[in-house]
Amino acid sequence: MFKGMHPVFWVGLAIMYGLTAIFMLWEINTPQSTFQVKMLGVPAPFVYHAVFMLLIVSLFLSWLWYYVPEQITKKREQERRS
Amino acid sequence: MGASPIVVLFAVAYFAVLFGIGYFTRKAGLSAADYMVAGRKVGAFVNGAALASTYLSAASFLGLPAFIFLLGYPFWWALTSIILGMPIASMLAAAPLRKYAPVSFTDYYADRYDDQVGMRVVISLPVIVSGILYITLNLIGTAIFLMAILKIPYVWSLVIAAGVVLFYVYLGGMVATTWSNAFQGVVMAVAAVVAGLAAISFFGGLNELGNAIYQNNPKFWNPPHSPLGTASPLMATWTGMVSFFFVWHFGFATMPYTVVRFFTTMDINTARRSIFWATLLGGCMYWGLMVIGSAAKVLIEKFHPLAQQIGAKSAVDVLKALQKMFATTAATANDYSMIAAVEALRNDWLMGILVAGGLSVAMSTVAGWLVVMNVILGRDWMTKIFKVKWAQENPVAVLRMWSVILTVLCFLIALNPPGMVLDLSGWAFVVIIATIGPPLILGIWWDRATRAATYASVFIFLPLTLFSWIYARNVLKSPHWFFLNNAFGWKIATAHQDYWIFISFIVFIIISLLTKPPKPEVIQKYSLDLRQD
Repeated sequence: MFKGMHPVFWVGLAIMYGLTAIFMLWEINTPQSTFQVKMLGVPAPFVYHAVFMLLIVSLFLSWLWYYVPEQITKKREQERRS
Repeated sequence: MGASPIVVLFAVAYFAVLFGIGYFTRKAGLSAADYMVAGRKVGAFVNGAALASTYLSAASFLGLPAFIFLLGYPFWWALTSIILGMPIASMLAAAPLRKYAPVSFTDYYADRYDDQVGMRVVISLPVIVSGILYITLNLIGTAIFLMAILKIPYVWSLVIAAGVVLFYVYLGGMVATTWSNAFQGVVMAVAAVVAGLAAISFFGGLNELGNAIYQNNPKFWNPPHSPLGTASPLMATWTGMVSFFFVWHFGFATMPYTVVRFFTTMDINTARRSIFWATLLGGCMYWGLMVIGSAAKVLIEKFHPLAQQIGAKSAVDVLKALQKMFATTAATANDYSMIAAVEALRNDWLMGILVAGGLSVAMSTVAGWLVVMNVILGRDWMTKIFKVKWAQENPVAVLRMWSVILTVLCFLIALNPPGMVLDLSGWAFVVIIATIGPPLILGIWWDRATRAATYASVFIFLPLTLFSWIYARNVLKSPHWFFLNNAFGWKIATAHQDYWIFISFIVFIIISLLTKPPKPEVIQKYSLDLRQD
């Protein structure tokens, strides 16, 4: 199962689900509301959730999962030509 | 509350651009291949924008903020999971399916499982069920935005919505919808970001916004298991938060209306790159929706024009007054909460941008689904299965005929909406992912996936996903409670009964291992070869 899948896919999944699990566990185990915790001077969810997880992590993964396979294909083609 | 000329002007400008695109691409719809897969000539950004606007629907634009309004901060994870799930498709489905390059969504199943007739019939069953739900919810969404623009009753808005959607899908099929969807993808992202920034600026900054939300509803920010309680009992334990995370998470790789967009790109790299652009536009839009959804309650209660007029004590009173004003249902009034929050900011320019974005997101999805359904019913059923002569001779006319039939059917259902738009969306996602998700993904990535397991997947999980959702909604009063709660005395939240997704993958694997493997040449062509770049 999943034979031939680029290893970078599993690396990306580990990053995505790892970070999600860390933040969810932290939220559930925070005795007071997550609102009370500040990051960069504003309520923490606006930073780690609305910016980091929603925008940075998702864009990084979508870049990673097109850039790496493209580079591998290019490298293979160069090797074939040479 | 009367119609604002500025808001109407924005709507007119939006429709002018949309029909301009339809007019200039009308000739492209004359060929059946262009109608169905846009001639496979679409570039990364245009396809990415079209993907975002097709995938993200009225369920996103209206439903997600409405659910944040009802369930509080933990529901933010549902939004994040949808955007995080989008890139998964680039590795899992986009590249292999573009390499295979079929015309219809059912082609892959028919070829991979070596069954040209039976497989097309079986796979189309959950697609038709979900497609009807999705076209209905987006007609409702379009009608809600027309209500906001014209301030007319819901039923008249719905009549106009059905007419407008039909007109531009009728014009040009996949080419017209690709270009108009790309335009719509940009408009919807800009609209949501502008609305989010306006809400932050209205309160004077993120800190002030956070404080206003907290003072209005101290439980809003509380996570599951908080000793201080949560905004909704559905989020009282971790199962609510985690299950809402997974309802839509895998949809981008398996939903027919997005998967067909991988067929329209120039090549495999373009298919993968287009997902980057889709994630960017979707992520920006969702950021705006998070902000507006979180601020909705305080904005409606304290600043909506109706709240002061009727002396409303809560946001619910305002939504009830809106329900009466537009002669609609409670579910539709709840879906209006996002628009009501922006109305509270009292800026007609902002409202104009928002309605253009809202119309974009709803109409693009309904168009995308109509094309998928037209191809399944018109090409697969009439031409390939029943071999109707008229259908074989007039392929585009058949597709257009189904547009009319489906729009009329969904219009009739939308007259009395069966739930909030996000409820219909979640239901449709679970039905599709649990039934035809395993044979698609494992068909590509596992040699051992079998035809028998595919049949079993549809025949077991289509009734189960439909029944458990309806039972929970009617008996437990919410589709988000585990449907067997009463039998065991539990109070477990399982959003849209989405555990079926994981169970269906396990069942599919077990049945595949117990049944006859496919022919080696079929595995080579439709599984092993597709995995190679």
